[in-house]
Amino acid sequence: MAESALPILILLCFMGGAVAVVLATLRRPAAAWPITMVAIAAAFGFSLRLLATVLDGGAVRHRLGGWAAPIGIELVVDGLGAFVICVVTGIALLVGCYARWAVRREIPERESTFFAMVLVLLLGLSGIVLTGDLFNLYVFFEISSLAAYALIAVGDKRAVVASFRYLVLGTLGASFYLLGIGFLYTLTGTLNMADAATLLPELAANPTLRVSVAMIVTGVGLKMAIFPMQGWLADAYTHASTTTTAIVAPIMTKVSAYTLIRVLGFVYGFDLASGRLPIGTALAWLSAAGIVVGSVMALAQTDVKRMLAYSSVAQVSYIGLGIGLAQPWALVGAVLHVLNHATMKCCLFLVTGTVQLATGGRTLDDYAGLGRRMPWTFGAFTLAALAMIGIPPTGGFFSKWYLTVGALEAGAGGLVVVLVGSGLLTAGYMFRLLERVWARPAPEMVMRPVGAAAIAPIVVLGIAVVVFGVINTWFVTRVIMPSLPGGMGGGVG
Amino acid sequence: MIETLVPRWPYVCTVVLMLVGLYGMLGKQNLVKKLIGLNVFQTAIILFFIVQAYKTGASVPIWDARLGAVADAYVNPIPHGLMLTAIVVSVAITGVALALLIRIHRNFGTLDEPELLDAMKRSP
Amino acid sequence: MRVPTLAVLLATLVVMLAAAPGLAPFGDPTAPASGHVAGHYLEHAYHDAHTPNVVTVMIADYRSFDTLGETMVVFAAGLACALMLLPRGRRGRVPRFLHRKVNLIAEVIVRIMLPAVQIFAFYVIFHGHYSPGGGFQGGALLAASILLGRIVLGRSRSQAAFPTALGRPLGAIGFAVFAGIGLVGFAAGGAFLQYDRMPFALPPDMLRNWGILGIELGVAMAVMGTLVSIFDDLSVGGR
Repeated sequence: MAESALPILILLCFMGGAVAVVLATLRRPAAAWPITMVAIAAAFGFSLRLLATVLDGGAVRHRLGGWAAPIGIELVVDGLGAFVICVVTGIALLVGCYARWAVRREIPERESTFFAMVLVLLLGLSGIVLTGDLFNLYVFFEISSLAAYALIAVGDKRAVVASFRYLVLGTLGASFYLLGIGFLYTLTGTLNMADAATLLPELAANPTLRVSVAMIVTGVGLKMAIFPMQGWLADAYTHASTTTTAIVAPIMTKVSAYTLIRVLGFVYGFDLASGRLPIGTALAWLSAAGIVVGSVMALAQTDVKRMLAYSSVAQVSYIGLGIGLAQPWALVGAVLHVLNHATMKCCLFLVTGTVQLATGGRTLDDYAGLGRRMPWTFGAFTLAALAMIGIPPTGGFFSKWYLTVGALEAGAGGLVVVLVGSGLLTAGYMFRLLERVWARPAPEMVMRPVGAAAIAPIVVLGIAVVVFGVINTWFVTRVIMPSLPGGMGGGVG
Repeated sequence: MIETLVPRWPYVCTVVLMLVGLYGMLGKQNLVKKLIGLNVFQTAIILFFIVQAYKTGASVPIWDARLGAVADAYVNPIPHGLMLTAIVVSVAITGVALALLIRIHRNFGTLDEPELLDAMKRSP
Repeated sequence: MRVPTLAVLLATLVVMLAAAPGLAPFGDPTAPASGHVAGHYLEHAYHDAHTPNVVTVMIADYRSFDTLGETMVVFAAGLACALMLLPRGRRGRVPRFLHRKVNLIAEVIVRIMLPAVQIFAFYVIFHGHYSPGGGFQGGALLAASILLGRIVLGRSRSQAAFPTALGRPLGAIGFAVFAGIGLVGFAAGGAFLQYDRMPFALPPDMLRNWGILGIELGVAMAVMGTLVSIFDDLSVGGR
């Protein structure tokens, strides 16, 4: 495996950015946003470079402190990790463009602390993706969670209660994860992912092993909002500020999903976790329940942000379903959905944020006729909505297609019904909103001006949704399939 | 069952502590008590790790010239180091949670969950 | 107790007890947990870093990245409290107990105690190489000394000794010191946080010894600054 400094450089961008924002804003408070954007842009640049390096030469690593694993901690990046880190930093860059206008409107006087907190969140999420050590993952898990609790709490009046509920459940989840790796450590004596992967297969019959994987899945599932632990998500996303929702919703649950793939697929191995233990089956069925519950609840909402939050529960459960099935095509669909859902949801939440700040509107009826007043914004919104329903050639169609193929090959007919049915429900609530946006007369009210810097990321994401759909085979064949665990990618025709 | 549990009696103690913490989190209505329950749960997990590190008759993991560099003479240092980190994380989370509770009380005037849900329904 | 709560508790009990047979008995020195990695640390720590305390070598050298993450958690908690508690616009009023002076006996005793606490705190930091201790513990003691002054000596004197505005920047500087020491080895061609590549004329084990001391000082600064800033934010934000 080649050595590379790129993983630590990405993390240093965020660390340096957070420190720089805190120190520089003592003298010049206006420096917060520029420093943040420089840090995120640099991290995105390094991430793209890292993806190129990994695609050319295979996985890379960085031995922190100069110590080799399992003595020291290593940052290890393969195709999957490079893919996810590009999604994380890319989304962050686009939300950062929007954030300058929004944060000034919503959270005045605390701008510098807010941006520093965003950089800490991104540090935590990047650390989770880049690390090769299980306990190090826990530390970064908690860094990102702590930042999320604080960011969610600066929303409307009810945001603090939503954040507290998320804090209790999230810390419970992290504690279960810690307990799980505690059991794993008592069995193997190591915390390094690759080292544990070599030692675990011979311990397959050990009851402690089963408990450890159950604990880890429960803990990470809580963070991913897998049914029945999804109750915290809707409140947290609805009441948070627009910037917070736009950055947390697309990437936090995805990074938790990545953790699940990494631990189940690479550390325990799918034939252990899904073959000999019923973890995969349980995950698949709970995800199916989550898809149904999320879609039905979304249909019942009148507040648009809340509707999209429940829709997120359903969409993340698609990824959980793919991981649970552990079938190559299903995994491809799950990983591709990380990219597609992040793009779609970010676009949708940026639009709801723009509408909220420009018109004050939050409910379905408040959106009536806005298509004519804000054509660029809602053009992109429509593209993202079509992707959510799963209409080709948008990206959303392809990830659902791969998931359906995987479910069929795994022989799970019931899950195919769930996938198709949820697509219909999604069409229901999305078309209901689109009808109001385009088919009703434009409202007469005065709107606050929306800067181009806020609309540009929305348009970019709307176009990206279609582009990612059209070029999806490049992602699948060049990036995702070679990175699947245990050579699963080789067996796909 | 008893034969497996007796030589692992400190583990059973940590399980009991975990259940106490879970009960605090789920069974109590006051938000501060829920936070205390969370803290007890985290402490139980920390205790679980430390218990796994013990070796009968071994000394603290500080190099001693009389014992030399023999691994069996010292207690396992890894869980101790990891739990230093876990304790600090737990303290940080508790600090943030307390700040949240102060804000909740400021916004709604109560920290009792049923009263809080009522107050939330009444206010916009 | 309601039924769902009881169900969760029973499920947890069953699952945890089911894991018991696979664990080693208490105190077993041949347990896998004390296996290859732990053995390596115990056998090589003094040789690698010239530091007897194996736990300190582990958290400050072998697994120093975890400690960096932990320092970031502390710093982030300080930021989080500031984000959530500072009121918009005018700063809130400071509560009365921080204004008035407590009685004479408490004040005299605290004035004698504070320097002793701080010297002990520095002892804990520096002696972390040889006994349990280190940056976090010493930093917490330093913060405790400042907070004691806040509570007992009255606001004006305590603010003169350690103003509120110093807290968070000190936290940031402490973290920067830690990361900066890591960057020295990185810039000299090694990995991040690799102490033995630092460009000083010392043998590798002494370089690691000094590297560990350096980051412990950074951690102590970060913890002290952040804990004091959290106290200040909590005491103002409650109004």
